[in-house]
Amino acid sequence: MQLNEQTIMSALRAVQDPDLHKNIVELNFVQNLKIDGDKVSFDLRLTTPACPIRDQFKDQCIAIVKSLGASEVNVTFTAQGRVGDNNSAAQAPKVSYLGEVAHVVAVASGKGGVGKSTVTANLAMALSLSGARVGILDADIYGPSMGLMFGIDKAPEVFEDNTIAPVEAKGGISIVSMCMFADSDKATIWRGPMVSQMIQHFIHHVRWGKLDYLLVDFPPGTGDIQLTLTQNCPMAGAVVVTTPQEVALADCRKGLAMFDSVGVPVVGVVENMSYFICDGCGKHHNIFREGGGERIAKSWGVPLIAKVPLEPAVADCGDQGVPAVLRYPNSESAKAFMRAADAMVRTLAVFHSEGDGVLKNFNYNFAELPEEDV
Amino acid sequence: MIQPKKVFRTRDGRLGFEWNDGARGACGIRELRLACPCALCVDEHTGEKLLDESTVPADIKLERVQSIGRYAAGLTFSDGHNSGIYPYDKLRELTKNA
Repeated sequence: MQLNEQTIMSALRAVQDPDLHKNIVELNFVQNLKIDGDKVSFDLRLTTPACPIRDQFKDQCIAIVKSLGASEVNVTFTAQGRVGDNNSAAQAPKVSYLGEVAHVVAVASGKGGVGKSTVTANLAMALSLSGARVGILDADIYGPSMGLMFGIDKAPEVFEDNTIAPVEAKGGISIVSMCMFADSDKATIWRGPMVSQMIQHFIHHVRWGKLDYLLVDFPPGTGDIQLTLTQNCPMAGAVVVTTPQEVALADCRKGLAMFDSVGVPVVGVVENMSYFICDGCGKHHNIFREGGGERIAKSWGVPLIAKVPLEPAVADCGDQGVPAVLRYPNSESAKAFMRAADAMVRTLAVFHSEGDGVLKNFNYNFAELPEEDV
Repeated sequence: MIQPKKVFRTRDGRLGFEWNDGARGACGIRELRLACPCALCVDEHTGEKLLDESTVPADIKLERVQSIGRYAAGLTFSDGHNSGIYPYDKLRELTKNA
């Protein structure tokens, strides 16, 4: 049978994206199809370079096209451009470098001490290892910890126009944290308006460059800083971290409610310190009451995307400045973080396709708006 | 979650929105200014209206409209007032019956 574009495209309709529930042709993933005798090549334009099922797509595509009689099939991955580019009138009034970031994701909790920063660091590392360009904005002005988590001891470069170049840490992750600007032994004793200003500066004046994901490590609670963050950058989604006990869940609910009221969709809940893995016998012990994460996920209708255990060796990683995902990739904790990162990537792709055609970030001069009838 | 798909201006100078549920509507500029929910115009605790409507010029104009996070729009009026954050569901209501 003669290979032609039409037969190949219609055969490729058999490949479904399990998250978006559409086939790859319908989603416009297949591009740049070239047929040269019995050799076929095309690009798969994925929603994100970190797509966890890209190899599965590739294998399926190759098998299908070969079954049509092709001797050689070449599939190249490309990733879609950043979001919200179609709206040319939308320009922020001030200079902002946030525009080159495809997805800004909040990592938050209602309560402190649940391991938000650990989760942020490891999610970032897992995303980076899967091929995405990742940045971390440590918005915990009063208690920044990203410097310690990644073992960073240098200050970021500050340019003449007051913009900041992030520090590149392990795994190629770009990081900006308050700890880079302040003496670690001194406390940041600031009132709300100053903190809000600093946060705005961090959001808009950091030269992130092109990033697939920017994870924002929120300070605990639901106050001034959290509101400034959600109002100043259009978050693609939020990951809410909790521990299993009721006292953490109560605050976790408040975190979920906050994102609800500011229109940020919640990607999922990560239950940290779910159980303890004994370093002597390997037995799992439930230190706290079991099933807290499941309960809150169920009652709020958001998925529980990971249960991260307590493992002494892994827990030490944060203090050593190497995220567990990088240092002990085969540990249960690392696997849980990787699963969470996968779930996050897939859910964000779904949110993105659902929000198709919605204005995300705009700033119009009223007089220049198009004139239309209601 | 109500979100805008398009922002426009009507021939008679009202601010119009097309929403993601398919609805379209517009609202007069003075009406928007009078509905400002900010703490200078409405008492935060009692909900009592603090804005004296007679101080708002009849020919007040809208200068800018911009997004605030993912849930609201900020409006800048010709009288310099720009502190109101109008959640999209409020704007959806305001632009409904026009």
